[in-house]
Amino acid sequence: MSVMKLSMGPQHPITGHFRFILDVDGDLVLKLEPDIGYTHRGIEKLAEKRTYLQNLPVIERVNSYCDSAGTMLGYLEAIEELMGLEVPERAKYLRVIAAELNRIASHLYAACLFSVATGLETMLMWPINDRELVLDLLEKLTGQRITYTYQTIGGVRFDMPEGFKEEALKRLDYLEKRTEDYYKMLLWNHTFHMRTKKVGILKPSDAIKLGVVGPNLRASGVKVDVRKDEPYEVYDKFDFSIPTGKNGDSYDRLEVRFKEVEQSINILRQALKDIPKGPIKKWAPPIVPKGEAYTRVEAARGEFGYYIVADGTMKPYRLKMSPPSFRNLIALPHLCKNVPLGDIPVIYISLDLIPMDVDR
Amino acid sequence: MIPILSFSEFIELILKVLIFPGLAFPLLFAMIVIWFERKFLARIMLRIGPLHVGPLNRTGLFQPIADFLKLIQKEIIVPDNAYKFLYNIAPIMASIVASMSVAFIPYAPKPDGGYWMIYYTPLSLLVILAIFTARPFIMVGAGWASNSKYCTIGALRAALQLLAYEVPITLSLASIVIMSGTFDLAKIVETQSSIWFIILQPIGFIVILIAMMAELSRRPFDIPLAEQEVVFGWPTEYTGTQFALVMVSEYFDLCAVTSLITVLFLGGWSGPVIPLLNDISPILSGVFWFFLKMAILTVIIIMGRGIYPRLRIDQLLDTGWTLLIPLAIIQIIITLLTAQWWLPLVRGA
Amino acid sequence: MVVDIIRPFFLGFYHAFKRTFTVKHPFVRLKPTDRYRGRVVLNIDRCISCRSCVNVCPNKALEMVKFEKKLIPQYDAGRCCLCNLCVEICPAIALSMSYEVEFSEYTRKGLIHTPDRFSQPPKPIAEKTVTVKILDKKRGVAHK
Repeated sequence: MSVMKLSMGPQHPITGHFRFILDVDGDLVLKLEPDIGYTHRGIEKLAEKRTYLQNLPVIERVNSYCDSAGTMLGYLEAIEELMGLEVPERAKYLRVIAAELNRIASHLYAACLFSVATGLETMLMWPINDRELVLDLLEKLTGQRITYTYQTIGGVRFDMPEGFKEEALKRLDYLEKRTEDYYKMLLWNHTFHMRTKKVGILKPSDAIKLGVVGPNLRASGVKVDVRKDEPYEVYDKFDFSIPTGKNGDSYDRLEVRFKEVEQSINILRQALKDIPKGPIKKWAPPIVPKGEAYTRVEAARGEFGYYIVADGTMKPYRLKMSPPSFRNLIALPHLCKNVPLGDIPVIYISLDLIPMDVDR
Repeated sequence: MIPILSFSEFIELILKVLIFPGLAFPLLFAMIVIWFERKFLARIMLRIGPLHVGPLNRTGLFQPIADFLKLIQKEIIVPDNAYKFLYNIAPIMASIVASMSVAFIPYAPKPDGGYWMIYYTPLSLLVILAIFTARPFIMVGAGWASNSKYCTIGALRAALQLLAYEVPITLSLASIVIMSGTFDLAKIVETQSSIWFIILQPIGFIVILIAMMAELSRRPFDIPLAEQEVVFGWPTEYTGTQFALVMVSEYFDLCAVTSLITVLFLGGWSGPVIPLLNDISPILSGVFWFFLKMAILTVIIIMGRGIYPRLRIDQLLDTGWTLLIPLAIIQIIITLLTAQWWLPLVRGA
Repeated sequence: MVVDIIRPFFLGFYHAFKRTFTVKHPFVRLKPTDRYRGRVVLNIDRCISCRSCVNVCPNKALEMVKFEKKLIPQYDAGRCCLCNLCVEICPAIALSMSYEVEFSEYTRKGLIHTPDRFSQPPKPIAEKTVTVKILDKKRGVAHK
């Protein structure tokens, strides 16, 4: 049979707002070409037209439905570096709490998308249900469920509500126990092993060469985490480990995310225990002094870089973002060479890309 | 010369064709199973499932009827490049073929001899096997006639899948035939009166259950319909009534397959006589046991969708050829070697 | 291997008899938390027409219009991103966030809240509200 061009997406059950142009020979995919840009919103340009404060709700929408708290940190770090602003200790802890809760929510979401890609819809619903616990906690803390606008320049906007700590610890205990069921249903399921093991193997050397970041890089066995390598906020005060995978296949990429959830729970317990008393916000001037700053943070999907050029006004002269999904997308055409058509969704979802992150 | 039926025979024939094994039964089965599948899978996923439509308070019992009524109001869209005759006839063929095999399955014995089935033939097992082989070709035809890329891939997958399950089914039926010595389904049930074949042939039962799940395209093996990969496989282009027919035909097939496995392995209608049902009609007691066994099989087949990820097509072929066929052959060998022990049990002294 | 194949079967069956997590939505609603940020509500008497909310709004959801001989902000629910910046900046504490989130209207114009509508208190939620809770370990999470 001759080679057939197959256009997968942007209206397809699994690709989201991507379009892949596949060269298919029977059931074998020879080549994959991602076609991005369906959710381009021009956020980098929008940011130039708004003041630094007004940019907060805009920038968290880069990665809105999963990881807005973790994403925002980099932007704030960059501005605070330019201003030379020292954030109160309690605010730093609260920022970390929001970011880590968000990381848990994001990884649970990744797990449920993964099981949909393999065709197991039960594990779509279970993590989504338990994610609700985390979102409810975040709603208690920040007042919103997915786009928080919680962290602000010079601190955070609300203090911890009463009874938050006890409730949070109780829910984290539950989540830890509940992970057992996920392992039984999904990760130890023999059929799931057949689908995901030895599928989409990303070698460490290739991963570094391609510039893959975050859990995908760690699944290949490379121990890189900005939280450990270049601690920002108060991450240097916590005791946690960086989980890594062995083979770098799709299964490892999911397992690393589950292990990261455990580490996030670990960090949250320490943060809730150690959180000091004090102010939560320091007044920040609306004008940022002239200069340039580059910061990177570990968002749920990987390293998120911000480059800000300030020209001494209330608005940034240029804001450049390098989101993790865009950097991981480059691995997709590399992995999808000569694979069966049935493996395309598995490899694609295992990289945990989201279209709006790629397009900005 | 056409034999003239007496009035009671005529009434019985009408009952058989229109109500019990005939027209109404597969439809009712499809309706109940679709509702049960949605509700049961929803409960596994900790959801509620269908809620609003229906008589009982918030059970959604009539949801399949509402869906069907909605679907028949929809416009039937035929793609421009489709081979229109085959495209239009395939859903009708699929539902007819799927419901046809019910006619050859004995559901209960009649008190005056004979069996409660639409058409009695001593070679009914062969006829059903022949009907089952027709279904993949309707899939391939429909997928090819749609002239769409996803449909074509789905049709090719259906054709490949045929290779995986057809041989294990035939082989495990062979060991049944060896044991019972007949192709007559009614006789096969009667040979199981002392002991069911599931106890004598557990390997054969597992093989045929897995192969039949592949035949039905149920979840671990719904590769031709894999929505994450090929949108909806071969029926992607169908809309409205044609889509409803395609969907219903799958449940007709489920009805036929569960009936067949019940007859072959679970002893058909055999079970203790229930006095209350027996008073109404002697057939009902047998039918009750038959339905109970069908229900258990249906639950097992439906559960696959809630707990297993889908296999890849090469893995299914691998399972079929390296696991199921050897197991089926082992079952035949065991059956032959142990003949002296099971012969008095099955054939009677 | 066989254990790994059979285990999900029992786990799934066990979950089928658990309490469902989803709620029957139109009859039962989620209770918003105390801090929940929904539609912005204006207290007209306190408003000093200082425009600071209009200036700070990132999406230009607020706009000054004339209302009873006074310049009062008008609110476009279709543009609002519920970020709370206007509430925070208001010097007269005239703005506040309510729990109302159902903005849907049939026309784009219907989304615009004139000062009159802007100052209406939020509609009450359904009689029955639930919150997410951890029951004991056996029954898992549910809304109650």
